Amino acid sequence: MRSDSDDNWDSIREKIIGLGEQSIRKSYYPELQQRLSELERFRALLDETNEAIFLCEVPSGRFADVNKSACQQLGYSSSQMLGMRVDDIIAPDKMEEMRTIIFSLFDGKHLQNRKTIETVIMGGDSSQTNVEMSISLVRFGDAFYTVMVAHDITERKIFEDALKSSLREKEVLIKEIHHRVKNNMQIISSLLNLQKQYVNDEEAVNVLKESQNRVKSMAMIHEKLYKSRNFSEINFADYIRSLVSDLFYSYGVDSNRIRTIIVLDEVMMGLETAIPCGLIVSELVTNTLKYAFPHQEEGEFRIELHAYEDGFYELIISDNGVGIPENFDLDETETLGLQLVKSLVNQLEGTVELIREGGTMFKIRFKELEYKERI
Amino acid sequence: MSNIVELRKFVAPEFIFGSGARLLVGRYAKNFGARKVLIVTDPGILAMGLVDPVLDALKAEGIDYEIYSNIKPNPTAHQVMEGAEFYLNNNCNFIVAVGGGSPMDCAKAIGIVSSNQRDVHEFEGVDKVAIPSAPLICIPTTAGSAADVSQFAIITDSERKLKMAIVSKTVVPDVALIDPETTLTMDKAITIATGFDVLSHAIEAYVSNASSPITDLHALEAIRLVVSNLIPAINDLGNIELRGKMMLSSLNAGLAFSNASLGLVHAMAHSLGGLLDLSHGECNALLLDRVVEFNFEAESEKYKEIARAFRLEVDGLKDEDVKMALTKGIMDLKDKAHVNYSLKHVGVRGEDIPELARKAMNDACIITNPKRPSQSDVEEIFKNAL
Repeated sequence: MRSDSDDNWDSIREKIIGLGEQSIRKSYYPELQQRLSELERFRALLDETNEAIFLCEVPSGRFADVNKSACQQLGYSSSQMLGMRVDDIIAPDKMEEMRTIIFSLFDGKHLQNRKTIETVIMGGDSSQTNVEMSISLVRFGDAFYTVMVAHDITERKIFEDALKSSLREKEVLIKEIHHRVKNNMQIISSLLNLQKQYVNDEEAVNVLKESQNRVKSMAMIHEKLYKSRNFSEINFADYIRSLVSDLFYSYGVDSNRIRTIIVLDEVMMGLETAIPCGLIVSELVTNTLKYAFPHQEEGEFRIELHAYEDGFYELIISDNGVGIPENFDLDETETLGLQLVKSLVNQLEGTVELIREGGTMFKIRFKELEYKERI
Repeated sequence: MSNIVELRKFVAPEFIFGSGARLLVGRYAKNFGARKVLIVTDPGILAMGLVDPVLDALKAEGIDYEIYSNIKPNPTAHQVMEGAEFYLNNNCNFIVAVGGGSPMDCAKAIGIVSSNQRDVHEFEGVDKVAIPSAPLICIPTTAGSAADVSQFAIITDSERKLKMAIVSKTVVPDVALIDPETTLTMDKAITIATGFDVLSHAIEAYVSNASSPITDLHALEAIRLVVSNLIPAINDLGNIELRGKMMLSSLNAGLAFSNASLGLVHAMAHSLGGLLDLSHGECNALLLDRVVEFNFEAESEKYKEIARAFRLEVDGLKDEDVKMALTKGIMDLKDKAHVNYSLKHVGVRGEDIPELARKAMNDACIITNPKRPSQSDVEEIFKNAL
């Protein structure tokens, strides 16, 4: 036995007898007490959170442990909860989803995989609470458990619902506005129609009819808008078809005399672009119907709309009619219709090209306009 | 009958014996991780100031404590349950018992009731305790019960009017701080009663059918120490040397009986104490010679050794004569200690005997008696002691 020179024999003898400060028999109690107080502190951490936390045996579903919030939120004592199972606290219509998630984790033994779902928990008084619950699988020894942490999202749900209903209100409002704009335009169109019947001058009738058609082309866009799903875009191909058939009707053109070929890419277009674009179509189609085939001649009218990957659209309106007079210059034109076309193309920041080969062809290239905030 | 290679186990707590041992309680409590100590004692011990040095030692180590002292001799199940509730309510994690058998037995029971959270009645019998108690330090202030080293806790069931024996290794204290100085305050009557308790422990352990060579060593030494020192001690109560020897005999007897268990004397004494709330040591004294008489033939050689420990000349004597000499030796000792009366004088009536015998037959101590008695045997012994 080694003895330190500093230690005198008496004190070593004391220690051998067992009277030293450190002459302690083996005991795990102090260590255990320390661990216990650590456990108590940890327990306090769990208990003092707002989240309801459940430790639940798999596959039995029985609760092995729950925190204080879980008991408080559900209105059970902790001993009551330890006699219960997951089925007892999840709303019946949500149970299947819950079971599927738990068993997908358990069957795959996915230990590091946390899943989050929205579900509904049921309290002892049958009250139901919306929660977001994260579920993960843990393993102690040979036994598997799920740790389920439920966060009350009742308030979030209330906000979400409020937001949804506010959105719904706005949608109704927008729909209503488009509807009224359309109705007003329809009234304007009808007024023009009425007025038409009080004038005898053919030129005046024509002017009124053209104006009426312009207004109608715009009204139609508003009508398409309030019937569309999101109130901001319309199916432009659809619109063109309706518009063309409307114009044919308006000018009393027999579709057997002027055959129409329509080639349209399916394009969704915003109000900003659709209105000028619609007016352009209206002007050019009117032009064709009025001038391309004089004296009841037969012919072919063609309208195409192509969408390209670079974001450009190409609108082609053509006919194999008599063609525009040689001396006509698009930049110098004095006819209101074509002036309007020019200025609308400018508004679209696009280009217009007139091609005179076997009739008349207008080729217009433009991009969808960005919506600009108005003051 | 005894076989040297028969399986035996010897369990004893860590114990420190000697003057000032009780002052080590602070250090032990600290090393054991005590945060808040329940001190179990009785009003008499408190009044004599025997708890004060214990409190000082705990304070010196900065350990908090609560005192539970609502304990009378022959502690009851009710007192145990009350103490356990007190322990739990005060969030204690350690127990120190200061006193004689009553506070120590009560402390043991409080410990297991609070750790198991069950009623104390559920622990009656042998090995009925599932969870050990929080650490328990015993500081005995009598030289008798040896509860500070034993695996026994005796609790009175006031309703059934009997003493329940809780026998379990889980009630062996963790540490016994055995300090003879604490016994200086015992008066003559208590010194006599506890002295005869020691003698009964030692004799019963020695002849027990669960004895072993190791328990025999302690038992015989205990008998020698009592026989030589009891009478001098009761005539010189302030003599620390004699008090030390009585304390040592109690420790030896405790180590012996805790491991070898007891016999008929204790089974009958428990029955008596339960029915009539008598002093345990006194009951033992009144029954001891009668039981020796009954048991003698079953362990005559061992009784002969006991007679030698009594310093009786028995070499060459026939068994019957040894028996006569030994019972006379015990009676002489009783005479010198003024225990020259019988059960009748302490209030036992003839009609109590069948009930007393019936309860004794059900006491765990009877199992290890060297001779298996019948109910009528026990009744007969009670009658003889009347």
